[in-house]
Amino acid sequence: MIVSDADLVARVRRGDLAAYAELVARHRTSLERCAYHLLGNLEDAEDALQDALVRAYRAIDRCRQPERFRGWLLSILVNRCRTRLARPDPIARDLVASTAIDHAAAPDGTERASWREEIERALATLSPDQREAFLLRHVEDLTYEEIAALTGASVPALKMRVNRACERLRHLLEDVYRA
Amino acid sequence: MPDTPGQPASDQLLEGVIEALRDGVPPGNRGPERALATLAAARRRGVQVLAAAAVLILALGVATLWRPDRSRSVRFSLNASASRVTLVGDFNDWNRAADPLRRHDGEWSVTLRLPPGRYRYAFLVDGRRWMADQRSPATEDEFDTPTSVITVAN
Amino acid sequence: MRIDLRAPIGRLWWAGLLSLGSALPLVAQDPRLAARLPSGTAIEVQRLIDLAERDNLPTDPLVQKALEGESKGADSARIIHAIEGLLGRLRAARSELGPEATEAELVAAAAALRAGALPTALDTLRSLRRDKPLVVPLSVLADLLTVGVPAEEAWRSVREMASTGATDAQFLALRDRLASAPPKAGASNLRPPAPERPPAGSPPGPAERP
Repeated sequence: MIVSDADLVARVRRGDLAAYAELVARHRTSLERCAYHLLGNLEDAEDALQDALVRAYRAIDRCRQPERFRGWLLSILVNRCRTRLARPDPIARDLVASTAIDHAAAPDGTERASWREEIERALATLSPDQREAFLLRHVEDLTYEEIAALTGASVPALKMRVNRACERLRHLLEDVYRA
Repeated sequence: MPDTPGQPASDQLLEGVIEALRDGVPPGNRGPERALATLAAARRRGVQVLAAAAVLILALGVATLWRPDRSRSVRFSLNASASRVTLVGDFNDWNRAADPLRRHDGEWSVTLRLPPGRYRYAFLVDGRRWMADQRSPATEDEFDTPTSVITVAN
Repeated sequence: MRIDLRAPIGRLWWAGLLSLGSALPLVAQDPRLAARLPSGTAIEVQRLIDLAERDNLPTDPLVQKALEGESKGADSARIIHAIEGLLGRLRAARSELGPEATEAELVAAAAALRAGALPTALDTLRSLRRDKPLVVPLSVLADLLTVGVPAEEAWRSVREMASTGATDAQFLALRDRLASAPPKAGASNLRPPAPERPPAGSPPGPAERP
């Protein structure tokens, strides 16, 4: 029995908090990842995610396309991340080195950790708009139309941001990648 | 694949970047638990609601709240002709939709972070066919479907 | 409201919620069960979970078994039967490994028992690896028995490795080596289904099984 997001949203609208927990559990990987990469540190990502989830629950009646709940939730999260990034006293980025991949089948764990650190550094140099467009398009796999709907930017503008982000990442990471 | 004009279609560098970004999130984000605690507290009109919230938060977050930092990234992959593949197992409540695999060069894959332990799982192909992971040991199955097991070391 | 569940006050708050939950059994059903199982099945599964909780056994493996059955389209009777079997094995594992055993260890031990290891083998491993987690050795033993490595060989290899203080990686390498080796002449690669309970007076480990 697979319960769709739309069914769960309908239950949430009837006051079912358990249904909301199920929706959150279903999408938390994507949400955690998006918040972390947009903000660059776990503490801010945690605050932004908490804030977004509380706001989303309270605004659930305004989710017009419940079958696209994930995109709607991401739009709220992206807005919360933008708000945090726009603070007059921006929080210093804590470029957390991800734990190495050290599953028994992946012997190159150390190299991969270093590669990730380089990526985080490169990502941090992108403008917030470019970083956001790149992450939503390529990491969260949203279409340009979906990103346009949730950010308010036009599709051509978004394509431009993504292209520039790709160019910059290539430029910054080319040497490390070859090494 | 990044659709930057003027770049080769197969851009391995950016593929690597995207894969690392999909996988590279440190564990320990308790935002969801905090949000649900906030919502449950706001609805505190009776003891029953509160008790339900406790169980709810426990169900959602117990693995995360005390999730040790010893979690490891584990990559699951499958070569199969399919239009959709999901990873279903002990680590995602056997939710048939929670962890879709992505196809790249004919191979389906997804990477999860798992704490040390033994996990039963299987691939669900096109929403109806269960497949074991040929790269992991098979295990017994009370429900007569192919099932694999993975052991994540401490 | 921000509650740090790592802080003592946060834990107290959390414990308070849990105690309220346990005081109201009708409300305290795991929401995952209610959401995915027919109500009659969910109630029966919850009853088994309550038994596990009473015996200081981990409950999430039982919930996962129920959700696995639901996901695979099993009927209620089959799901309940599978959970009852797992509950029995977790109980046996707890009895052998003691109150300090972690959930992951109990799950791995239950898998080893299901695959044919005798309960006393768990105790032997515990005594050989006093200060180290048993998850991987137990899981490797389960894997070896499941894929049909002769019980004597599987148990001897795991026991010897445990007695030398081997690392988890070494256990996993042992499994990969033995599990991929062709069966020896005369050794059966097919094992009979593991009994739910070993016969009384059985020898201490699979090595001694006939």
